[in-house]
Amino acid sequence: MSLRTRALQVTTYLGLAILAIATLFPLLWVTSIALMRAPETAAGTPPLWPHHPTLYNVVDIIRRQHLGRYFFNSMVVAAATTALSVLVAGSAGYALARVDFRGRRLVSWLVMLGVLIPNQALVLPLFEMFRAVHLINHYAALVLPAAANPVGIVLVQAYMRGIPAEILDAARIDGASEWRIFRSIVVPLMAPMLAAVGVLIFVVSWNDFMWPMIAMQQEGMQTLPVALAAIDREHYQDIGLMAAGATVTILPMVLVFLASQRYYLRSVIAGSLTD
Amino acid sequence: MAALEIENVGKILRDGQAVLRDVTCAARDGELLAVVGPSGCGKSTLLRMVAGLESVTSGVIRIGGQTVNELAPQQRDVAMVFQNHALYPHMTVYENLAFGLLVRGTPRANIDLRVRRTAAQLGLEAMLRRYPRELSGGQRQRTALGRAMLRQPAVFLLDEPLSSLDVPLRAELRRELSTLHRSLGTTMVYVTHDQSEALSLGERIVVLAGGRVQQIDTPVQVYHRPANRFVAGFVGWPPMNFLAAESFDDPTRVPAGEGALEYGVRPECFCARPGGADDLPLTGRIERIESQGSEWHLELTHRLGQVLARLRPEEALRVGEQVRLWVKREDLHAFDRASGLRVEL
Amino acid sequence: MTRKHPSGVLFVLPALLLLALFVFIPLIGVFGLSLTDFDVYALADSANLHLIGAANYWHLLRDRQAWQALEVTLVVVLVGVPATLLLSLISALMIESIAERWRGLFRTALFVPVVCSTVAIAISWRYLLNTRFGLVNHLLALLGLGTPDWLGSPNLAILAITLVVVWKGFGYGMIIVAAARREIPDELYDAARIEGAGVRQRLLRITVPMLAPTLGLLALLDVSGYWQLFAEPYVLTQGGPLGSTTSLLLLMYERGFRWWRWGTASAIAMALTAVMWLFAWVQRHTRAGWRGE
Repeated sequence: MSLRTRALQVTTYLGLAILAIATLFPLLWVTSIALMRAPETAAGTPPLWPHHPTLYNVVDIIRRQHLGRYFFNSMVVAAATTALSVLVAGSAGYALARVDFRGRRLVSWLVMLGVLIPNQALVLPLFEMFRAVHLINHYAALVLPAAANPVGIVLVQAYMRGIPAEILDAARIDGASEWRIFRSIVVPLMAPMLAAVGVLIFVVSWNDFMWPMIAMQQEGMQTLPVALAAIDREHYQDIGLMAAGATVTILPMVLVFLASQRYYLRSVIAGSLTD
Repeated sequence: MAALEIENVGKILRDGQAVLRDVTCAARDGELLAVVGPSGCGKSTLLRMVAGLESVTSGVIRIGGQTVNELAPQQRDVAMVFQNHALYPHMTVYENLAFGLLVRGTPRANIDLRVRRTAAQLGLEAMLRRYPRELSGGQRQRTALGRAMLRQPAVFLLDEPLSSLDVPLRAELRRELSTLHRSLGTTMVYVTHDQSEALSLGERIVVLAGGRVQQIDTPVQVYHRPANRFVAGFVGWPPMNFLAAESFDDPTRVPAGEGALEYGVRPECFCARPGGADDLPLTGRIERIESQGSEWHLELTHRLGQVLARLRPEEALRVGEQVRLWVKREDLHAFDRASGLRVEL
Repeated sequence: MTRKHPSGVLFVLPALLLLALFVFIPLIGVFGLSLTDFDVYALADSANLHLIGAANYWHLLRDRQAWQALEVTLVVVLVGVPATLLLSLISALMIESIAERWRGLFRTALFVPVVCSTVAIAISWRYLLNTRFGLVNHLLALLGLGTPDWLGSPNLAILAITLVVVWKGFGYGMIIVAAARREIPDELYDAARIEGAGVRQRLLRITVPMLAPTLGLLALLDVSGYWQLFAEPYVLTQGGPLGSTTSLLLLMYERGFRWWRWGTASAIAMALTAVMWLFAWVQRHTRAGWRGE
């Protein structure tokens, strides 16, 4: 190995290390502050590490700000959104890729158009619609619009195109009904992509902010990020408390990501290959 | 078991392109019908229409006397083997074999019995718990065959089942298929682009080109009495030589028919010596000799062009020398220059 | 070509229903609202609702706040997207060039911000950028570079927000670029090396051109993401100081849900959507050009 290639390699590792510190440090620092108490957080720049780690702030924000309640809301909404989206995207993505029916091209086109509509621009009429049917402050107000996710459909559709059509033909000739084919052949075959879409949607739903803030105005119905933003407006000077809130909001998604990295990254990569 | 009848069947795609026009052919009960043609001739489409995977634009398809045009694949009592096997990748060999019976509600004990019997027949007993990705090409193809056999369908459809295998394996499976057909006695339709496969397997052959039937007959008839110039050139390897009367040394001795004719001679029909007084001589210069061991392939330039001849090896033959070859009159095929149709001499 | 299956409609029906109800009808709704003077009075009594044509759009053209929001959003897009693309590209190429066993670790580390709640991230960065006790200024002070008021001065605030957006976003593109880099066959590099191309030439003549379509698509993804900037300014600066960080969506939100002027808010939403379609159109056509090469 020449000196130049060696130098290049060292620079590469160094560059990556700096980038990794830059991305991880803010997160670690906030977590560390969440574990500190008054003297350390009260004056000047807080130290890098808590000298006496304590869960005081976490317990405090859970007890006084009812964070458990918001955590529960977020969990319910994210889980329901994920389940519904995977069902909807799974069946639609399969049919658009592998079942020939009248109007298929129109539906495909509508889905592609849906990808290009910024959903945050739609909150005004959405609010009116949910108000009209008295579903504001209900979980349904968050779950239903989030399940109308064209990206999930596009991902499943693209994945399904990679599976030979003959396998489905073989099942038809074997005598399986369309529903049986879906259940016994299609679902197992696209399971990896369904998992990927599921994780992606779970994280997106958990982190969603603008629409949940608009749709959940009743005390106790907010999701975690919405509640956190509201607490922040009142208590932004209590750095320990807010750091604890941020940590509690971030940590579950980091864990979900670490546990399902393979699937999650697959959905990210597939998203760039779909058209 | 049942006969398959295809009557005046046509297929026109949504963009108006005609894939098949007025195709009529039939497989008798228990017959192995080979459908052969160049790629894009519509043979796979025809098979898929019989299976019910493609809609029928015009005409009638009957299985066992019953019109099946509007029936879904699962209602037709057909089985199909696909070119790329189309095994279910997430199921073991056992589950792949059992799936068709399972979805039709066959009792478990019965399924188990039949799966094991079929596996034994195909030498797959040891593979039952493996997944398709853990099988060799031949084992995959046997599994696909087994899946189709297991249901004891009325008609067995095979779409280029051997084309993804390598040559020795192909020959082995071709023999097995032939044996299998004899023992099962099921009507089979075998689609292939390989004319030698069609010749060796088919009891009768349908030659398809440009979406139209060119000829339907036994392998012997298709080879020795091709219905038109296309079939003559497509069936047989190396392909038939096409000549004009003037290509021969004495054009006046070449039998004439009505209209302008083109003549065909198969490479193996040339002889180095005359066999009878009626034989037609053709003189040419040897351009190339390719030894195939037991025989030589000679490329000759004659007065009007080139021919390829298959001869027994002879020391006397040298590149660059003139040679006179002989063709028996009965080995001469004639085709109308305008229509391409066979003309009896 | 497969046989027609009427059941296909049943499979897409739920998706179609959801998309119609929560995407297409609301889109028509926004457009309709943008042609009215829907406000807090109309909310109470629909008799106060009038169709006023394109008036909301004409007002927007003379609305200084709207122009400022457009400028703010454009700055984030025009500074943030190239910075993100560059970071995505560099980090992806670095990760793909190191030993296999270290890649997973760095990939995870650089991707983590992507999955974090924007609200929580904004809160964290507000403390990092705090003038008095923030770690960023603490470091700058140690280096003797002064203690700028990151979130308090108009010019710095928009840069600070762009910084947070890029920090959170580049890992996403990194994964996509790295995947595209793996698709470039090694033979190409071997051939170039045999022909005498050095590291830099291989980068500029093979890697970057081969990645161009991916970077183009990524640019569209980033643009459409940053164009919808909302939570970062909402939490970090509340749009201030002096509206210097009020993005288009933040302006729409405030007009709509603080002042209940839904007519103007809808006009902003429509303009936002229209510009996004313009971005998509431009991207599609430039990419077609690359393909034709």
